[in-house]
Amino acid sequence: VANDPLRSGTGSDYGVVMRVLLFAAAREAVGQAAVDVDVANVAGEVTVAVVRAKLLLQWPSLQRVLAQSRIAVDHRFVSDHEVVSAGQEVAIIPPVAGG
Amino acid sequence: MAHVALHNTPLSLDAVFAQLRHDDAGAVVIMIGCVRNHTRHNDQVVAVAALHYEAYEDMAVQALRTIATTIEQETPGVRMVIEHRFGDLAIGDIAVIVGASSPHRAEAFAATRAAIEELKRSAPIWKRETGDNGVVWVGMGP
Repeated sequence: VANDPLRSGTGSDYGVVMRVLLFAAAREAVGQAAVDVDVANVAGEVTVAVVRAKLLLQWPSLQRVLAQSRIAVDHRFVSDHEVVSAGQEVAIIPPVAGG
Repeated sequence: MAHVALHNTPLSLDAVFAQLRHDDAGAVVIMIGCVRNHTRHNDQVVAVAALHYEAYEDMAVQALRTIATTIEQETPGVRMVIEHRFGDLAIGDIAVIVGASSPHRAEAFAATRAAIEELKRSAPIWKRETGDNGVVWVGMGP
């Protein structure tokens, strides 16, 4: 099961892939509303910085928008040092423009 | 008790006012954000034809609730309402309504101003402009 690429991690373990939600310019850069980031071979903890690096490897088209984006985990803005697990809701937040 | 909402249908000023007014509220301040027919790009005024708002709905509602309840807790007597539109909007449509009521006007003005400024910083809502400048996500740098 640990090598099943379709398995999305839940609960306390990292699983194999981490779902990342995309909005606005990030969604358009990839052409889909969410992507699955492969974190199976990450040595040590999966931080937001690791997720950012993996995203760029798998979707180079995200480079421009990701550089300007914040990351939210479970609806909260987090720093690049924050550790994330696959059961959490991770999202790329491009520059916001509400109001 | 704060009230916040996201709608993909037209916002109602009357509904917001009804949420804000009560017998202790000597002042009700309401800020309405409307879709403007122009924007600025590289110091040039550029015509805007239409706007599309996108929201990360769960997080946006949570962000609006945090903004509203934080202000209410910091300023006893203040009641906050924040409603934001998403989807396709035309020029002149209401994009956001932020309101505060309180016994006296100073607190209501301050609360309304604080809420709209924090919304613009932290609510995960995006605006895509269509106009003479093409189609752009507002706020995106080069």
